[in-house]
Amino acid sequence: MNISIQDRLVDFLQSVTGQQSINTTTDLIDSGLLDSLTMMDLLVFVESELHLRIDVQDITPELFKNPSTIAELIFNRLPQLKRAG
Amino acid sequence: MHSTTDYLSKLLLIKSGITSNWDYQFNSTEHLKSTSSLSLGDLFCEMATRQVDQPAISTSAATWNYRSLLTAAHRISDQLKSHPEYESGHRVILLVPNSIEYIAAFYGIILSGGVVVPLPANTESGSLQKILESTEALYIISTPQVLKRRPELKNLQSETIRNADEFQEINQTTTEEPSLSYSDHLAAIFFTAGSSGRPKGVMLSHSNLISNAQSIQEYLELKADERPLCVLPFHHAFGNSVLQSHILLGSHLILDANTLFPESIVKALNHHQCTSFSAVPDLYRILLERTSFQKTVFPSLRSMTVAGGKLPHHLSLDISQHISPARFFVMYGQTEATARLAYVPPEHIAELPDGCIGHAIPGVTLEVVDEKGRSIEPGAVGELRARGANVMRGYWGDATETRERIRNDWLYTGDLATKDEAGWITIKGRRNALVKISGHRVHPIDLEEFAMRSFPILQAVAVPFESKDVGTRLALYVKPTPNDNPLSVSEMNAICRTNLPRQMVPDHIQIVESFPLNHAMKIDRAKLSLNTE
Repeated sequence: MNISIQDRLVDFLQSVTGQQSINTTTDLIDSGLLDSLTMMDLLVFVESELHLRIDVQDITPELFKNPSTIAELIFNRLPQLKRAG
Repeated sequence: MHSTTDYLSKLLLIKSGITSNWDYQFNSTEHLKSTSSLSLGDLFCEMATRQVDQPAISTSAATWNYRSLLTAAHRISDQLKSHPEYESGHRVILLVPNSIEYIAAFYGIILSGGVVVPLPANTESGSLQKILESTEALYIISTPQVLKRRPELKNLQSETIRNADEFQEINQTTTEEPSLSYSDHLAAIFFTAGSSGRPKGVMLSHSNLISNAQSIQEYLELKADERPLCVLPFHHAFGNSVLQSHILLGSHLILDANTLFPESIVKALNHHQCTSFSAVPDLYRILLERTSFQKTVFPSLRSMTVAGGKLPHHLSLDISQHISPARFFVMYGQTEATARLAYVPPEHIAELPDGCIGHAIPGVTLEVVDEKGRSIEPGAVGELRARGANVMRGYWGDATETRERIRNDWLYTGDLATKDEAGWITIKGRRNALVKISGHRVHPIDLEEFAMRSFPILQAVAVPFESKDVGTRLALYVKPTPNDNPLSVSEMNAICRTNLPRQMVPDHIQIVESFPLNHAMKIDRAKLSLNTE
């Protein structure tokens, strides 16, 4: 489950930035790959495709460092959503 | 306090490889008004010398005082001047993200008598190349981190900024040298870059920057002890105006938040006891919807400002009420006017209509006129034009476009507006199709031209539309060439993503057989916009 979220994120980020070189550990912030417009795209993607609204406290540099950390964040939040039904 | 060398070691002076075979003659004997005979460099040095021990800039890692900033700027200036081919008036590209280094380099170039050409670190290489050739910039100032993602610059000759010890000539007299620039000389060129079409360079003189900064200081009632939280990119006019208006007052700039992580803005505002904050409408939306902004009190805050697009009136009111007694300023302007042209006095915000931009800033005159430049009756729609010391000197290398925008010393803003009997100005729309996407200027026609060049199509129409929760975005409608192999929507999307700046990438692409026409037999763009929503 975790792996496929990661893959989908990598695919999405590759297509949204036009950079095919992005992998699971590519730094997204210092590299400038994520800017405010692509961040919005990412949040909208997670909400509409993964049905998860990312909260205030979760939008931090540590959690958005690379596709792997973002996948981790999403995976940790999803079961809660499922439980809430 | 970190030593100056720590930050300057992050800067690189790169030789562009461009050979300049003419020097742009900027004729300062033209009959233009200057508000002062001092240059930006003079004012900066004066202020920094007066405030040497006061904090100038804080990041998450360190705080610099004005002494460090002044020293750094002088070192950069001296290094530029140490190159025999570098002369006053030469353009220097500044390719550095918001940081202490950016500010030191900006004033360093100014002190050397150069013209700053600030650009986003992620400028597309095609645009960067065009701007390099157009400005004939001999030097680019950047950082190793930016170069990591810019293969085209990695192989150019570069040098680090030398330590004070290595410089025999550095001594007290450096600060007493007469200014190499005068108020009518160019100080900076701000390019509106895009992948298609020619990037236009707005030429701003020392006088432009100084007059706008002083006018802004006046109507915002800025004090020397301001602590502005700076998140806007300094390479755009709005961010630059925050930089200039505060540095020239000797204020303490806080650079400890990232627009990517909006909650960091809320935290920084209180952590650094910030007195002010400026942002574009999209960021205020995000603050209201995705952060703890509405639940937080900001005891040190004196003002917040918005510009670079329209914020829905009810949101302006929400913010106004929430931050009270701190004041919320709705503002209007454009790069061609240095930055600011008008503002809404906060006490009037509730009673004025949606789209109202208030009245002119001190020193500027705003008029609404018809196509012949004649004034019209209150309430009638015409074009907004402006006069003042902040009106740009023109577009770099483009006398034709300049003549289109500046006629008889009036800057034609390209915005349609009304002025009521009390003198309040309301924006009604654009004369041309320019749109603002998250604060960025985008010409739909540039996207259409890109599509025509890149896809096997007969026709392309790009229109803005309101994307739910996100704001204005572009939609692209294309009519494929009948006998060619068509591209799918996802293929076209991928090509756009790889080649265009994000703000120009259409969020919606649709293949059509024909386009709806209106009663004037022209493509009904409004219908296409509505269709997308």
